[in-house]
Amino acid sequence: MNQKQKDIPARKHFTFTLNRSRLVFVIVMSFAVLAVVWPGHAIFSDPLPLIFGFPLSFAWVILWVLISFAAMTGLYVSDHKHKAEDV
Amino acid sequence: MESGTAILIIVGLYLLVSLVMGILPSLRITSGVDGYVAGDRNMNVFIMYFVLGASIFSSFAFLGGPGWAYSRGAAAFYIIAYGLIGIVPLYFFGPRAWRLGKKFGFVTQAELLANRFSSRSLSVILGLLSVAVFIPYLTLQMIGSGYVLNVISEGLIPYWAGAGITYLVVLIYVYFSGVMGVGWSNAFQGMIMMVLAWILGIYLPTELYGGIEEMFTAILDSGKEAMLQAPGLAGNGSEPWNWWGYGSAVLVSAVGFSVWPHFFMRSYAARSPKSFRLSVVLYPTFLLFMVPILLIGFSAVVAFPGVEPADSILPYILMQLDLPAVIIGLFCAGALAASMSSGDAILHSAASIAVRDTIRPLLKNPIQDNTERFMIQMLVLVIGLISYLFAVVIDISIVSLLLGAYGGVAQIFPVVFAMFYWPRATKSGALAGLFGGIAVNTFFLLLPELKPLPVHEGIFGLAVNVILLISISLLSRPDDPERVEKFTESGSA
Repeated sequence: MNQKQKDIPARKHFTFTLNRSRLVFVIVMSFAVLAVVWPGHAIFSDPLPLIFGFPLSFAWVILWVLISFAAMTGLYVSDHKHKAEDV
Repeated sequence: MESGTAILIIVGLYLLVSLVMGILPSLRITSGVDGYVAGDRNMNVFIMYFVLGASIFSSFAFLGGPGWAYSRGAAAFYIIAYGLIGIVPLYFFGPRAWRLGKKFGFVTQAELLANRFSSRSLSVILGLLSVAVFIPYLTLQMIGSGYVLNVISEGLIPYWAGAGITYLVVLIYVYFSGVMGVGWSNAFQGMIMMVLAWILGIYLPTELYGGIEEMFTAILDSGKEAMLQAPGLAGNGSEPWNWWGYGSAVLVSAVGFSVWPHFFMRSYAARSPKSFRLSVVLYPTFLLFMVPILLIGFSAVVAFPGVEPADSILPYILMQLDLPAVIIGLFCAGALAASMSSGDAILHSAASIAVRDTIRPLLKNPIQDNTERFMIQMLVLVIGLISYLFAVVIDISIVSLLLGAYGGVAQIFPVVFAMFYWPRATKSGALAGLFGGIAVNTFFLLLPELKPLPVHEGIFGLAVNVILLISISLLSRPDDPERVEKFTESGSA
């Protein structure tokens, strides 16, 4: 959380290379934070309907594990396509 | 008696294999500190994956996870939620720590910070703090193992002996093989846990209700739908929890997750930044194993109401159902695996950090590499023994009090972040932020009634921490740019 609070005012003096895939990743993960903490989880907080047998509130969290896994995989692939020497 | 023997044989076999898996790597590591603490920076993706995964699969997850689901319902999702967020910073921190470690020979987190902020006292104090939180953590893992063996053997194995035997095995392989012993045994233990979690998590709902959907329907029909309504129930198990409490617990845990000193320092052990990143990327697959663990807890809600304490729900279910001895034996092995795979990492890190960050900076003369390794091994024994004494002698409420201090770990995050990404951060800023944050966190931990908002005390600590870090840094003179650049430019090879 501090990450986000701090990097906005300090962007100029900031030593972080935000290429496009990293930017997409940061956006997806920011949504993930909103989704599993608040307000996302508060919207999808009901037990019903059951999705594949799981209550909606549970299925929602599992869905975001899968999304963040996909996002991290995408970031990994793109990072290492750009920087083959960075092993 | 016959089933008792079968259980003991399975547990004995499990311990033996763990021991062998843990000792074998000692034949391959080099004799210095680099080999013992950082595994010669040569750990592959497979082992690293389990080392990272074991951090969440402690006794807390294996016994506490079902306990939370059983007593507080949806509140237990917080374990999954914080893991999902908390692992991400490690993707960026890890490779930087690895490169600096390789270049300058660092093997702990405090070494990095002490070097960036040119402060020996920072290293000494962080070292002391780490050991102070690691000992109760280790004690808790030991209590878990002693407890499980005692309950499942129906008193055949006394509590002190259960914890003693289990941790003797851990002590031996950590003593001889260092981090590689931790790694190899964690891979074996991790696979046991994964398989068992899924077997039990699917078997129990099917056996008791006829399926997962039927189980949740039964919970809803029994008038407990409040339990499945996020964010679940509050600590007392009857009123709904609020989003302030749930959200802040997730955030503080997530912020602290990547900077746990024993977790963070694993990045040095990786073979390459790329292989470390891959282990981090695969980490969410480990999180999915929390799903069956929680299903175990939910399966008891309707079938076995009113079990106290909630953490004992898993052994309780197993004793109620007339299960074959093999299953119970395997469950024992799984619970021990959960305890051991976290306990060994903690034990190893506590000793390494104590010597590397606290004792070494205080010595006048530099010590030889082999002497240092020997000192770490001695401390493995000493810390193991102290924690064991805590586990068998001391009242458990002391342990739970110390556990409350974990919000303090999150206070390391802003400093670590600034170390890599904010060149303007200074020594005074870092010290002020860190200690201001810890002080505020501890204050509200001890006096919760003074909190202005009903959120986790770590949030207040973090707010003060960040404000102090930024303002004091800007007010003080910039640190030596050459030294700072080493850290901020560590992003590429």
